[in-house]
This record gives sequence, structure tokens and C-alpha cells, in this order.
Amino acid sequence: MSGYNEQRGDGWKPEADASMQQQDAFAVALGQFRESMHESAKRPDAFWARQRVAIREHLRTPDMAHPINAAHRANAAHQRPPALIWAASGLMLLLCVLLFSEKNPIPAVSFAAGADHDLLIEVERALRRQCPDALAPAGMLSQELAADVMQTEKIPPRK
Amino acid sequence: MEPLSIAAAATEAEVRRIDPADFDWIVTRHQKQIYRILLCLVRDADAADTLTQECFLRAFQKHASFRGDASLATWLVRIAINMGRDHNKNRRWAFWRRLARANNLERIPTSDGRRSPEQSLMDSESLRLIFSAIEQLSEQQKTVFLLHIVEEMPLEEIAATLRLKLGTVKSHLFRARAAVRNRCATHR
Repeated sequence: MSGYNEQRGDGWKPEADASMQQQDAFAVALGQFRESMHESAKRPDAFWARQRVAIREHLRTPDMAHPINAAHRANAAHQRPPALIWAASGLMLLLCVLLFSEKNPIPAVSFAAGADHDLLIEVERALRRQCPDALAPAGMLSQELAADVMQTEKIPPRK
Repeated sequence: MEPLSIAAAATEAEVRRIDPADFDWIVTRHQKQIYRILLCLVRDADAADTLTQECFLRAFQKHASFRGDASLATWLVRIAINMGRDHNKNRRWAFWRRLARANNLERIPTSDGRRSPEQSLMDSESLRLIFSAIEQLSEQQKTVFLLHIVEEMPLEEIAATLRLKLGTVKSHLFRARAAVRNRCATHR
């Protein structure tokens, strides 16, 4: 390693020593890791014998749906619900969140039965009126003018 | 006298005539290594047991396709690695399992189900960091790292197993070791 002098003579750097210690510690940790994985994989002889028997039995009945695969697939299927169910559940959850959200409530549409009836009555009234509501003020003005005219015609002209 | 093995079969006809009893010898010889590799990859003892059996069944079903271009152990390890990767990909809760594994080192049981001195050894902070760092590696890096560190497999054999160039394997191992070392150094 650059800067490291075994004799700790010229050029020796304390950082190199610390780096070597880190390297050693890491190597020790990797060794411990290897030992731990080997130890974790140790099983009694009965385990290996059972495994060989299971493999031998399945080799005697070569089938695409052999018990290992079937059991594994069944177990996997049990643990993994169909994608469609998950998608439907997620969609329902989203709809519930939207519907019951207080911040952005979905405005309720009024379906009052009387609203349509009132509307029809107004339409009928409008049709019976001689002029539409928008022109009602003009109608009133015209009536007043008509009344003034009639009153003026009754008064004789001044000589 | 050793029974006829796949690697020793000279012709296709001889390969096809492999008897399940001969295959039993192959299982006996390689099951511990295959189980250990799968346990490292899937971190689930039951799944590793099932996958080990499936690995040998698949090897027997496909032994006709074995060209002999690699050793029998290499071929079996290759099958096991592919099955382990497929298992990890197919799990829907892979993310949550990784998260759980990163915080719980007790998932891998000991031989008798109780905590042993070796299990206590796993509790050391450095091992915890190594496990956590491994989970962050890519699939290729993790596989190369585990095969080299746990199985002490030579780089040339790893390259043959994974069908990678030797330089690629070296690159994966270098990056994996650096990532694991940095994580261990950062959290000390």
C-alpha cells in the first residue's frame, strides 16, 4: 500500500495503518459470514435422507404436475392471490377514499322529485304569459305607456 | 464402483439410460451444496428445501440437454441459481421480505431450531451490516459475491456457472465487496 513502510521509516503514514486494520476487520467479518451461512445450512442426516427419498419418489412418477410442483404451486397460489383480485381491491379502496374524503367531497346531486315538477309549472306559466319573463319589465312599461296614451286622448287639446 | 453419472456418459444414449438409482448418488453428493446456495439466495429454509428437490428433478428431466461442456456441479449450481432468482422474482412481497430480513437476522434457523453460539455470532453488528449490504446488491453482484465468499468458488468456475466473462465476474465481485465494505465502514 502506498505510503506504508513496514519498517515505519520514511514515508510511513498512520492512515495506511488504519486502512490495513479496516481491511483485516473486513476480512474477518467475511470469514464470520461464511461460517454463519455454512452453519445455518447444516441439517441432521435425517433431513437429507428425507430429501433424497422425496426426490426418488418423484422421479418414479414423472409428471408435469408432480406433488412437489403441485404443492409448491398451491402454496404459492395461496400466498399470491390473483392479480385481478388485487386490482379490484385497490380500485375499491381508491373509490372509498375518494367518496369519503372530507377535503374534496364529491358534490351530491340533488334528485328531489319536486324540482322537475316546479320546472314544468314555470314553463307552463311562461307559455301562458303573453311575454317571456325577460321582457316582463318592458311589458309593464308598455302597459303604462298605453294607459297614458289612452288618458291623453280623452283630454281635449288646448286652443 | 461409481454408478454411471451424467458427466461420465459418453453418448446421448448412455445419458438417456441414466437410472434414478444412479441419480440418487448424484443427489447425495451435491444436495448439501445446492441447499446451502439456495438458502443464501432465498433466505427461507422451507423454500430452500422445496427448491433443492425441484432443482434435482429439473436436472433429471433435462439431463438429455446436458452437453458436458461444464462439470456436473457447475450445471446443478446453475440450475439452482436460476430457480432461486425466479423464486425471488415471483414473490409479490419481495420488497417487504427484504425489509424484514434487513432488520431481522433470525429468519435463518439453526440445525435444531434453537439459537446456537453460531447464531449468537450472527448477532454481531458486522454480520448484520453484511446481510443488509448484500440485500442492496444487484442479482448478479449478489450471486457472484455469495458464490465466491460462501462457497469459496474460484472466479473461473463462477464465470462458467453464470455464463459470464471472467472480467465481468471480477467487476461484479469488486463492486460487491466495495459496497459491502463501505456499508460496514459507514455504520461503525
